[in-house]
Amino acid sequence: MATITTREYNPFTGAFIGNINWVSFGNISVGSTSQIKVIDFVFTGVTSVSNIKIGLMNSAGVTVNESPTGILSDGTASNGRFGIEHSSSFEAKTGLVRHFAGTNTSNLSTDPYNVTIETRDSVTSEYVYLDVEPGSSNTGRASGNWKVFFDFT
Amino acid sequence: MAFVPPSYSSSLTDMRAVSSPKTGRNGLLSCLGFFDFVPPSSESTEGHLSKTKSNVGRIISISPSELISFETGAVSMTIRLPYAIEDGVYGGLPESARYAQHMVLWATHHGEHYISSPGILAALTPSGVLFEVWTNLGRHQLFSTNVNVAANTFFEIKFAWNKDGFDEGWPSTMAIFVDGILVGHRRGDIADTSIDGIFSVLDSPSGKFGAVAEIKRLELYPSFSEELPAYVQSSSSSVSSQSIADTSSSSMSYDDDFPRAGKATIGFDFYVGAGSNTVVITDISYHVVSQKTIDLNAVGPIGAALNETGGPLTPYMFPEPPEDIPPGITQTRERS
Repeated sequence: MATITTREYNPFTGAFIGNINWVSFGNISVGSTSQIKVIDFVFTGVTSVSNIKIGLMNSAGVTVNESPTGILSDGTASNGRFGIEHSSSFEAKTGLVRHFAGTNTSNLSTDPYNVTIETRDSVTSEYVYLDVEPGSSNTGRASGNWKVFFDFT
Repeated sequence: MAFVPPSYSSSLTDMRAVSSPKTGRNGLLSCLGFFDFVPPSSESTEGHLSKTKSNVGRIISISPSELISFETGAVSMTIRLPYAIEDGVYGGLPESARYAQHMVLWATHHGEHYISSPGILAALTPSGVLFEVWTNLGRHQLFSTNVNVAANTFFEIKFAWNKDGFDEGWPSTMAIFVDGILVGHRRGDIADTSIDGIFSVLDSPSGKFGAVAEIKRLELYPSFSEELPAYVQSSSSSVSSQSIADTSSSSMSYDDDFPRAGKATIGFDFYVGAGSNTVVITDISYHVVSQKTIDLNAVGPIGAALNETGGPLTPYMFPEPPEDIPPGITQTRERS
């Protein structure tokens, strides 16, 4: 049976922190961007994984992207409030310049606003960097979720 | 199919977290017995709760209708078991001749040994992972033998139902997911009746079953609708037809040469405050302190020391030491 494990890393050193199924961005000042979270996915019970995509399913009330610009082949935009980048080796990033272009409203892996993530090996995804910049009207505690889509053999 | 936020979602980092969910209502959830606390480790950055044979911990709600209904919903729990689940059969089932040999994962309207109608039961049994929904439209049991989980490994298991079917193209009304992978589904008529009795997690309310487990997350959803996963659509039609029919069990098979698809959900949260909550601690500087000798004849802040008549200082009088003498400085208490 295929299983997916999400692993979190120290954003400054790349040291493994632990397995998670929830990302806590912590406290964010109004008008600020959260700390960067670094994760990857490892798949077990499979021979190989391909076509990994991440969709932002629930944005916790934050406007994801009013007018996405500079969309690249991986689906990321140069603007937006939910940062996402990916790399095959760990990089200590001070800020994210690529973002989700929109919300996945179809719950499908083919949704145009999904972001494509490559693999580091047959059963491990690239490192994924995430952050969020809530709007000035977003105050208090909020939660949302991403969904990871993948094919496996 | 817009995402439906959970009606209850909590990372069970301690017993207080049971009644203080991160998202949703608390649904009057509370603990019966108690749980041991498992501190953070390399596998989990947060602590979690452990049910043992001695603490007989279980989570209950006396008002589950605030959180779920028979019409549609889902319950997801992230747990770790001391024994493996192989082909749906858990290796740590209680060997009790007196009580049912199953381990209750969660249930509604559970009596001492079994559920009553209307009730829902999710359990590990000798026949596989059981999901049972019992209303006045029938008692439907879904067994999955397609679950394999190593011992001492956290996994998420979700039980979902929708009396109208999960999707136009997926008429099943009951489904089990493990780590986001569909491991069993079937159709069985469910009446839209009210949730009766107590909702309990990790045991029946009576705590009779006693199997041990660790739990670090619990989520309840007020509704669930989803399209049939692509890999099931692509699997053999005989399996699909068997699953959709009102059979007593369901399992899936795959064509190993065909790429399958899966998905998993990762939640996030944050708190936006009006001002900065950052505390800045500047670097601490250190200085080497050297001993100083103070001249008592020197003029201090209130003048030189004098006796009562304004004459020279007697051996019994000492001048006021200069201000800002750093602590630890030895004062010379003799006139030079």
